[in-house]
Amino acid sequence: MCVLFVTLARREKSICVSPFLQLSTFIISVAFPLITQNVRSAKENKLSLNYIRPWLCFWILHSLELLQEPIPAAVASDVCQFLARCQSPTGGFAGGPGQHAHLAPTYAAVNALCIIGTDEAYNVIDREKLLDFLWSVKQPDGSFVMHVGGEVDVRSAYCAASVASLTNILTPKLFENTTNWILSCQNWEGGLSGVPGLEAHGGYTFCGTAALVILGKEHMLDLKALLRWVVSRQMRFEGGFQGRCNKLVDGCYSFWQAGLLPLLHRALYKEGESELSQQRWMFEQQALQEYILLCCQNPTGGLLDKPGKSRDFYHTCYCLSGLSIAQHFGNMDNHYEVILGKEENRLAPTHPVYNICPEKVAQALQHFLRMPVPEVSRQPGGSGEDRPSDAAAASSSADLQS
Amino acid sequence: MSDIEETVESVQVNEDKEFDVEVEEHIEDEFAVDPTRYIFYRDRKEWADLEPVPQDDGPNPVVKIAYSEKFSDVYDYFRALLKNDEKTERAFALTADAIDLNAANYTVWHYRRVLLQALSKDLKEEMKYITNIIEEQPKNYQVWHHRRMVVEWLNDPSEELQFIADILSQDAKNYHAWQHRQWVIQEYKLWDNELEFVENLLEEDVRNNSAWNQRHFVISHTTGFSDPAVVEREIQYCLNQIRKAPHNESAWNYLKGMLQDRGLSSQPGLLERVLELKETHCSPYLLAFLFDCYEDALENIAQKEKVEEEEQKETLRKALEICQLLAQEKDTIRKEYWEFLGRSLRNKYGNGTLSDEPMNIWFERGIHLLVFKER
Repeated sequence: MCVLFVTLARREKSICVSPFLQLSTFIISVAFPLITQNVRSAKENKLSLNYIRPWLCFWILHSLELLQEPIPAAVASDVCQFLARCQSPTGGFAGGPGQHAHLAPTYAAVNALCIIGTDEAYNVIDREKLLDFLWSVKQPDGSFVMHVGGEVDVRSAYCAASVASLTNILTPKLFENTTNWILSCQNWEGGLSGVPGLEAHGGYTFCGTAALVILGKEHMLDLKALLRWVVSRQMRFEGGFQGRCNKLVDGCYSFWQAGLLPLLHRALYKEGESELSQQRWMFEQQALQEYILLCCQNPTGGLLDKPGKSRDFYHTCYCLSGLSIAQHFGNMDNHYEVILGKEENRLAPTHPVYNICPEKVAQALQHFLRMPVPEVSRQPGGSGEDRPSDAAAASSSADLQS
Repeated sequence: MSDIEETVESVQVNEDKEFDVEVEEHIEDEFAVDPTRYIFYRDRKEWADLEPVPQDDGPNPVVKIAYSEKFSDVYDYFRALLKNDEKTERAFALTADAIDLNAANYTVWHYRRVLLQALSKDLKEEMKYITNIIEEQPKNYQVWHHRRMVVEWLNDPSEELQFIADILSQDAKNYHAWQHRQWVIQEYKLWDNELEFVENLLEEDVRNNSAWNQRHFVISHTTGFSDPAVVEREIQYCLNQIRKAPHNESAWNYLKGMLQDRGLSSQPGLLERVLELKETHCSPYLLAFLFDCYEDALENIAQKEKVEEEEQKETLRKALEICQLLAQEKDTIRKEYWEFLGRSLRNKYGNGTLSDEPMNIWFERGIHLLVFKER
């Protein structure tokens, strides 16, 4: 069904409607204030919106900034105050007020606040406590658990590296052994897995690679093998990317996979590679844009995985992010654009490491670099998993009610 | 990542009519009380001592979620339990309701684990419970992590391989399932039958990349890939699968992945076998493999003392020919990549300028390419 749709869509390519006005209107006026949860019987209900509200803030804010839609000041301020309530008294951000801190909503909250970029936003972040939180989830082997008592995988290293670098609380000690742990996730396929031993996967590969870029260690990967793996993930017919070999295309991989090409381009350049293109990333930019614009749009606004699926904010964010990557090559000094369809399809460029706009990255760095790195001499947080006598974890459950 | 893809659905209002509650009507009716009907916690006598704690969203919440009445009720009481650090049977029972409403709430799962320990609950019962939940929601991080904890506490992996096999029979590529499987196998040294398990899966679907990965996992942790007999067996296996399904990228990736550390040209006769396959079972993957063989050969030639210049030129020519074939005709979606490889190879092993490519202006100008602004 997807194949048929793609074929028809290609034929109708001339009808390249701009979707974005509808999308922005939808987001600002309808969705942002109120998200209605599908509340069918719990057994059918796959929705877990309740633990990802900071994510929703990020997905929506990032979509708006890519669309170059200004965020109303009142909304920005409300987001700041809400995220402040998601911040745990022990540091880091949780999925919602009163929940435990978790690296994923922490990543999302910090990104969302950096997109807003006001002093009010920056001031929400308690840097000292954030550093405490990162130490509390750090493992001796270099990995991080996603939350105290939670699971390990390479996403956590990215979330930790992202927030630590943006807020200037990063120290080498905090990431001791992390490089080697991430490197051990590169497998026989050339991509990276969630934990060592598993299948190479686009989301995890992006997280591992971007984390290494932040730590300045991306050259330690087998870049050639990684490059071969990621370019092979672009589907020759659909034009979009798959997450794993021999699986289906999905619009969100437009970012997780295609976003690796700018990172690799830079990494190879730093390694002395002289034959890199000066105009194009090493994937078919036009084909990806076609897939996103022709197959991944909901006619009433919003983007999605593949034809037949419903829209959601996650796919809206990552399809748009991927579209931006496909449209923009290079940087301020050397910038090439490939815009499929009308001029108004142009999105703002996005930073391939943090996935917020480059100006917002620079602004945040500038703001936080003026502050000293908090002094915390800590050891990694002990066992990442619940143990029978884990009194600390048990009693912390009482602390978290805000 | 998979749980985000799978769980975030469209925004729709679809209030659960069941809980629009005609319960109020029936409370007075003593004769027709239905013991299975749902009663809100706020209406349960045995919970009357606890003050529910509403969610503290603040005065101007954003991304507000329209919870059902049932959801709010359960979680208001969950927050109350958390606040009082209550460790009782009723708290334990409530966590099941909370999980039923939102199995991704890691705060609830954590609390449930605390209670399992504090109340010395029957962990075998918990295994049954988590088994059911995973069957219903197999793409959720928290449920698998919880199962892992219980298995660890029980120190009993005896049900695991069968259980995971069952989940995989419903979705043979479930990442969480494979992750749990690898953990169990490594932790409890259950390697013995895994290669057979993998082969069965590949019989069912030779394109199952997760199974190919598991194959690599098992072999690398048991016999390893240094034993020539093992390598030959695996090459044979790959080529057989390729004959059955020539356009199966997994098989080609496995072949390369297995050999790349030692170098593709280290395997005598392999190139010839692949060239033979090219006649009848060609694919972009076969051509890429040939390219990799030639590239590896060039690497080795360069290191030899007596460089056969003709040999090097010929290998380079063949490699570049494949690059061009792939870029122009057989794998055009990766044109940029194949052209880059061609330029790179020519630059490294050819003698001189690349006539059809513009000079690298960045180097000329001394501009440092920053893909994004540095600090």
